[in-house]
Amino acid sequence: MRILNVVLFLVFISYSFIVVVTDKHPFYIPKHFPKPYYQFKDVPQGRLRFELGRTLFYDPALSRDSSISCATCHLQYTGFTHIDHPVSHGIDGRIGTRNSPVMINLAWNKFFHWDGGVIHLNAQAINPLTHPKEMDMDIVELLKRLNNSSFYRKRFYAAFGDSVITTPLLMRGIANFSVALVSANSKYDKVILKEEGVAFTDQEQRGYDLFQKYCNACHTEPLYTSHEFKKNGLELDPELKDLGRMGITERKADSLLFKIPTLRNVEFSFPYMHDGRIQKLKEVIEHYSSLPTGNKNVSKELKKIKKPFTEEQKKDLLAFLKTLTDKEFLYNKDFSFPRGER
Amino acid sequence: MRAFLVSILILFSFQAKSQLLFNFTWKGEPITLSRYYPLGEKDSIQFTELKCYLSNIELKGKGNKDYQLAAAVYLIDAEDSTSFVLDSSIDTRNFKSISFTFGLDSIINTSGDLEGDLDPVLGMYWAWNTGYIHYKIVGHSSLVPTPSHLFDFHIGGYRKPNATYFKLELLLTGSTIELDLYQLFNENINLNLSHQLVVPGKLAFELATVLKSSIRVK
Repeated sequence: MRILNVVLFLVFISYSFIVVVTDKHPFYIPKHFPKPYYQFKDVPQGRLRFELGRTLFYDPALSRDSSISCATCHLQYTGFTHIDHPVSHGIDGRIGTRNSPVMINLAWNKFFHWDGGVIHLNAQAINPLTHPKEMDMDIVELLKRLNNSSFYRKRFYAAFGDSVITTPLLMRGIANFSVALVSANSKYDKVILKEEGVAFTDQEQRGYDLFQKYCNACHTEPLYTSHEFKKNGLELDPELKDLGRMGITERKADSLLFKIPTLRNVEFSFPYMHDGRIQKLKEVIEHYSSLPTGNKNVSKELKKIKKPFTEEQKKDLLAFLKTLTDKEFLYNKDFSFPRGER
Repeated sequence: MRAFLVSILILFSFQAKSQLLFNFTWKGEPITLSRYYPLGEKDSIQFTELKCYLSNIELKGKGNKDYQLAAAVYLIDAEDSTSFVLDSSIDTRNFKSISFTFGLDSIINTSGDLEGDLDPVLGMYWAWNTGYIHYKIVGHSSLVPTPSHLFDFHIGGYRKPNATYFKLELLLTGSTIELDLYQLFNENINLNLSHQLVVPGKLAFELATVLKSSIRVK
């Protein structure tokens, strides 16, 4: 009996060892996805780096008064966005001007933010960290705070072989988490990959057909975005005065152009549009269905919708959009708050 | 004995290397931060922060091999010293001309490299619009009609047609590159009307063009 215990103990020990050694960075390229845009050679990935990024992502110490973390506006179970509020609120309840975007399949993104102002995932986090209406943190102060923490010095040493925390290391740490947020296990994916026993219902299939005809030019599968900037028929909000892409490129032609968001997990990422002015998904469908012809704030792709969708078609589209929900992603324990670290 | 010492000194002064320097100047004199300088007939100006980027610096000519400076990017910060030593290992007298990018070209702006002089902690990185402030000129003047009298010019942007970087080639008639701010504040900026710029665009391009023409070698 004692021998059996010893054997079991040894098996247990070696098993845990194997788990640690083989535990890789969770990023992967789904079979039906194109090549990612992200330059992995710049940032070698590793499980410890991913875990460090995850800790940073959920740590309120990254905001000026240690009150909010990245996750405050990017909640996992909503596709890493901030729900309920049209525009997100940051530190001291300060209200921003935009709806926080989802963080899904970022390795395939060329541009970040609704206006595409940021072009590197590795540098993106500087914006919310330092923005006075978001985390309002001074980078110099943040580096001091992290370098004064033996917890973080050890974590950075373990992940990057350096206990001196610098801006590039901090950014790489966070990017190692955000790049890992791959969502490709929705019902749609399973249908496309011909997984056994998974098929669209008739209604979903009708919705998919409609989607391919009218929506896919911008929300291009399998990522459900073409990564371009388009006018989607929304009038300028006179209070927010957000001109979108034009604020970055300084070109008049780019006025009111906003980045096309992915529709993956769109069922849970309400409210919708860059300023969150539409609350419900069926209202978004309604918006596109009833765009007045001749509206100058409409891209050419949307002009293909010549007459409003019927009530049946709207229901079909809605049913299809819900097949983009990926519960394995929304509840993936790898991406959730890291418990019991400290 | 005195004659000997003087001749030794002369010999040394001839042999001492002529280092490559950079100065922010006001009417040709190196600017000291926080000091007040007269502006117009009865006003004054004080600089509290002066920073600018130079990149891809190369010395050429006089039969010598062309010489490229060690770093691709140099952030000049008047806080460090009134005279910024760009390179102390060469003698500028052995070269005929200098070429460099005043500011940062679009490749550096979009490289995503946050190392060294491109580290966002240095206060030159635009978090909302990937890219860098090329020239930062901050201070106070009695001409600014606000309670703090603060002026704040963050000049940058790499997109055409409002790109604020310039490729320059200048004859090395001296060893110091000077950026004189007198013309900018005497002729181009009326602090009474405009005292802040923090985005790229046409105005940034116009001010950068004035800065470019305010560079000389002395």
